[in-house]
Amino acid sequence: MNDLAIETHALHKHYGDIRAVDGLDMHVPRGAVYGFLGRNGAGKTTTIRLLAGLAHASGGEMRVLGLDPRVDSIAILERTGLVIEKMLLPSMTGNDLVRFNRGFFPRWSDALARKYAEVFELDMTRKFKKLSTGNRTKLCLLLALAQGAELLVLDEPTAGMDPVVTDQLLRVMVEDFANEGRTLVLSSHHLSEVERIAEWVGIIDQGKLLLEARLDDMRTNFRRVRVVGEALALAEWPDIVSANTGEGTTEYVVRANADAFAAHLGSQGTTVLDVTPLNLSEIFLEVVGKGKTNVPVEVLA
Amino acid sequence: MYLWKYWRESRITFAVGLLLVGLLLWGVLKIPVGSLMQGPHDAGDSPATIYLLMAAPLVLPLGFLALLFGSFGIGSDMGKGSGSFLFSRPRTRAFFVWNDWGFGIAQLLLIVLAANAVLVLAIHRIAPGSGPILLAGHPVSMLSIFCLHCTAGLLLIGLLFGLTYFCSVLAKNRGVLLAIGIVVAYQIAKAVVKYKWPSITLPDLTLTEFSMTPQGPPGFAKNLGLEIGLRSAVALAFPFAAQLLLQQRDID
Amino acid sequence: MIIRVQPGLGVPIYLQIESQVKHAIAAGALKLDNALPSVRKLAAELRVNPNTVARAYQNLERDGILRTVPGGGCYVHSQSPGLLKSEKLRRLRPIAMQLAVEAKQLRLARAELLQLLENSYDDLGEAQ
Repeated sequence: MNDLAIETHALHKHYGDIRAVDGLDMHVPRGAVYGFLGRNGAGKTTTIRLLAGLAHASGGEMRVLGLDPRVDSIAILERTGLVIEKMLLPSMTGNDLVRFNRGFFPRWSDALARKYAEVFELDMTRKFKKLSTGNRTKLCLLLALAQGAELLVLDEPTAGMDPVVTDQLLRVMVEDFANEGRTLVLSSHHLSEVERIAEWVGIIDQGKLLLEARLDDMRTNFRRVRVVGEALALAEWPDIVSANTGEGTTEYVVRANADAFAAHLGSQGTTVLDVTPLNLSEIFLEVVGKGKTNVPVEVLA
Repeated sequence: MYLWKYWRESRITFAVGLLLVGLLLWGVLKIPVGSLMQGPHDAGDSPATIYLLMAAPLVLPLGFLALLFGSFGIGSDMGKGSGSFLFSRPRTRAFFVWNDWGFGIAQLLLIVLAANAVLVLAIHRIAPGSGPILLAGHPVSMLSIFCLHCTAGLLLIGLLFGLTYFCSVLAKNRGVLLAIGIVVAYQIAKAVVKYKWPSITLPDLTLTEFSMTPQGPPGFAKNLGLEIGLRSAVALAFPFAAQLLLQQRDID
Repeated sequence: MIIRVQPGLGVPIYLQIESQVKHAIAAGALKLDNALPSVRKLAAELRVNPNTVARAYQNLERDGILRTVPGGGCYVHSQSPGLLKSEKLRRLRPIAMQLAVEAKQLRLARAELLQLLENSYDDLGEAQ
């Protein structure tokens, strides 16, 4: 029993020539809220399906709650709530689905199911196929939440949801899940939601994890340093993520040690305009903007 | 919990199946039996023969039902996109296959038994004094014939249901079409083989329990035990194949 | 609502909460012995992780601005932390430096900078 809810090492998944997951090293601490961020097609869903035992890995290692999904998938699924595809059983109503799902999970709570039906304002007598996208997702979430799981993995839970429903969901996540000793992994490209509640963030692109760090550390360490002048060559500075020139200024984005960098620039006679923070969306764009360049995984302590 | 889901999916078909078979039997019994019973009673008109003749029309509807039932279960769920949900419940893939298959077979078996029971009862009414019959010189009771017919029915549905179930796991929404295609192709192949190489006969889909000779009473078909054994093996092979296929595959 | 945060700012949320509380105290919106919402309640209202709120409250308590009562509840402890003057100046020096650097970069005159500082201070109302 270690302190990671999810751990992968050099995880691979290939579909012919396509490398959907290409050497993924991921670490989700127990009890944390982890934002698994990436563009469409970056490999988020494939990774989740590998962890859930729905797909077979081409190589590498993974552990979920200390267990190997290749061997102990059933034990993992008993303790993990999953929302991947937002499709349940089309001809069943909410109540039917609760009845169906209940038998699979020893820690199922009908009281929780009723509570979430109320909070989410769901009509539990309507057939699933007749529900709107937002309501379908809410029902999927209800089933996963009422399961009494130690680990909740949600793949794009707010996709297609309007802001009101998204807000309802965030509230539920915060009140009932965060900081209860349970682990929550949210995979998304809706960064504004993740930014509110995530403690850890993993940015995946083209099947690799480009950055995995505490969100607060990212906020503290990533800085945009703007200087006067164009085309300044400073390729040797190790923390530079990107450099852009135009309109008489050069902008550097650094992932750490911004003050030292600014001082270094100043000592070379460069005028530093400002050193400003970046939000998660900007950090994300900078990090994945590296595209094909190999950026090693950093854990910012 | 899972069987409850299968029941909900299949209960209407099951009820309709029972009804249809019942109607068919009623129709079948109404017409020819009367005329048959009017003629002179000789060995050719024994209850066993009558039973055989009456049971023949059951083949098509039973086969059809077996195909229908094969489309229920995990294959159709995957076709509707529920695969990710179902297979992320904490159960093995084998669990789903064998629950589907077992419950489907049970329902079909009930229909087979019911159909045969109705037949026997009807025949008893018409020819009440039917004790053991002579079959190729051996006395055989109605009960044995009943069991044989049920076995034949079960093997037929086992084959077709298993085939369709496997096909629906393989091809999801197009599974039934694939199964029908295979059955049709097999029948065509059988005819072609018979035509080109008359000495070779591909086995029938239905079990032939009795050999019908132009004159004299029917006798048991030869190698009955072997035929039953082989067909059972093939029928069981399908769910195993479905299980293996699912275990291999990624669920999407 | 006394505390509002903007997760999209790029400033850690716990720091935003801390400075919001300090700002509220300095402006008189929060007075001595006023109660603050519990960690869970504030987290739910703000839709942020409770650990973030907890961290902010802990930091504020460490700095002597808030106190917690056994059995729950967070209260305003003092409007100014019980620090030596030298410590207070030490705390403010980096911010002052940053302000000076910015002003120099923008070629703001010394007098203008002082005026700016005085205006900001006065806008907060009487120091308690």
